[in-house]
Amino acid sequence: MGGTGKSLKIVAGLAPAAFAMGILFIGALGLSILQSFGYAPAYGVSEFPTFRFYERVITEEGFLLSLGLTFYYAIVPTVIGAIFSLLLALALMKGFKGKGAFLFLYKIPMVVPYLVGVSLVILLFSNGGLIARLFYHLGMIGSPSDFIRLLGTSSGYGIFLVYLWKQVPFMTVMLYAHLLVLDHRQRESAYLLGAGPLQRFFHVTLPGLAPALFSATLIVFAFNFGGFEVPFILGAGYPNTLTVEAWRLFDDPDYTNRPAAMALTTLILVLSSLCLALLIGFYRSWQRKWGQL
Amino acid sequence: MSGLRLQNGVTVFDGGGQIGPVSLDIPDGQMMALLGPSGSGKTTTLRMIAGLAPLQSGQLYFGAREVTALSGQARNVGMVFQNYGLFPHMTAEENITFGLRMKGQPKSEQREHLAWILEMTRLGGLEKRFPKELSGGQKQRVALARTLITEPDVLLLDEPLSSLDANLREDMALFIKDLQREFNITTIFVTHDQEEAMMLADQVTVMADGAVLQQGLPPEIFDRPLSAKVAEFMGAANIFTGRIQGINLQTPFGNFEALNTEGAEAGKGTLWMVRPEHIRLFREGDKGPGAVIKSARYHGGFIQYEIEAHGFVLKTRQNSDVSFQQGEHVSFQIAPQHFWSFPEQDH
Repeated sequence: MGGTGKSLKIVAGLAPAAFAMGILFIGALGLSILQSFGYAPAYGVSEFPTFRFYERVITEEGFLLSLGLTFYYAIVPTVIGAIFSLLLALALMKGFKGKGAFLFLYKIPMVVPYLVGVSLVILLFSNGGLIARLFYHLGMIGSPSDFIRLLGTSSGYGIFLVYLWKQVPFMTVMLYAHLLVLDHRQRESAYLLGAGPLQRFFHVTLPGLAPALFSATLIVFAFNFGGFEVPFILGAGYPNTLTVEAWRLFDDPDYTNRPAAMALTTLILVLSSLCLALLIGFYRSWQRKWGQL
Repeated sequence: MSGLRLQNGVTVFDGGGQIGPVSLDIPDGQMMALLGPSGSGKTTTLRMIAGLAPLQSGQLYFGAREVTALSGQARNVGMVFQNYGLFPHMTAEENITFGLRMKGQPKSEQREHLAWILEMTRLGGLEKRFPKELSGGQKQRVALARTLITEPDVLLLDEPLSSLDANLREDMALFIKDLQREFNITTIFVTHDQEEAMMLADQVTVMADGAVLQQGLPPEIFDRPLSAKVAEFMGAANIFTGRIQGINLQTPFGNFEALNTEGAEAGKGTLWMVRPEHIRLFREGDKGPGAVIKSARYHGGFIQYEIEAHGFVLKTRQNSDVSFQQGEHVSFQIAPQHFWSFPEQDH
């Protein structure tokens, strides 16, 4: 078969998936962008092209707070999760009793839905939750409601707990798999050349792990930035993340608010893409410095 | 004076099995080859000396200093790994100065040391390159420079030539030998290539199944192997059972005179060897016992023949200036001093 025939066969094979993808993803994305610019005849809005909806969401009171909170909920658990995962992956490289069982158990949260994590956090950490009751029974607090408030506040501790519970195993799997294939002779060379444990970690292991660490961090950050259900259930209500605000507008009985919801969604997409582009640019410059490009 | 002495060194693997007891003794400033097939314990012995594999029992000395209980770092040993173990994210210069930086040496001294080692290892002009931008030979030199710049007491090289192209091997072997002499550093290198061992080493230790079979000068190992196992590994090829009576040796391929009879008991069948290059072939049929050429293989500067005499097949190696045809009748000679009876007869 000639080159053209082979290409045609590949295109034909990919066509059904590409078509479904086009309709479901690109079509939906295009439609939401069109709606954000005022093309929403189904909702009685036909002002295309207009920036009115963008102007509205940006100038709305609390927008900056929501923006800050979105970054806060995305960055903090990502950074904490990356540090935990790194430590856990390094610990897994050592032999210890029960390692086989631990290697199985620590991955379980990856296959459990986020909403189960949310339920667990409510059961355990709410003011009437198991830990609050335990503290009460131990006489450490006067009543379960005196337990420190972790859920439903802008501090986002509950949200972080769910994200960490779910994402630390994911990041650990990526880092541990990468650690297993890192050339141990580099670490041994560093050891014989006089490098201490921290020097070996920062000069040899961490640069070697950088590709996996970067990929894992990027995926988790992108998810947390656009995450909706966890801040919606465990967040403070006001202020809340941009995604929750977009949902609030979309779910409003007044359908003419939907273009504003789409404008907010498009903004989230643009911000998220900008962040990812910045992170990738930063990583590429690091790779250039390390001679990897 | 001994540069390195390992006495009955034993290491045990996590999953069971052990290497040793291994004993080595290398004179100061000399180079020893640890020679043996894959899985014979050569690299593990190297790791035991480097402190990367625990020394379960035995003693290790660098010169007069006992280092048995010291960590690998405290032993002041340098090791170059088979795939070099270079840090891919560092330039050649950063790789080379790594040890100095880790020890907190001032930058001015680092620069001085760097200039000196770059000259010694002929790496000038390559210092800003990353490992992926270097050839195999250049990577090898960077790895050597990185180790030697820290001035170790003992240098360990794990299969230093195995990753190189055939045409680079000899150059690199000579380069390593020159460098080792220049630094006058006690060196052990691991190889499974007997030619490499002969070319580089002052001393050769043959290992198999986690134990030392023989240690000695290259000609000793080559010409006077202690056992058939060592002889086979050194490419002896012709091992047979013979009976000695005085100086008369009865072999499956004829009767000869033999001189090296120490390992043989008179009248009793014992294992002997003769090296392929010590059998001389003649076109004329009256120079010695007769034989027929079974096969001929051209190897560049020489031709390897298989000859059959009295139903026994012998391997020989002849210069390629005279060639014999398959099926040709020849005669052959073996000088009495070239028969060797193994002092250790177990096979």
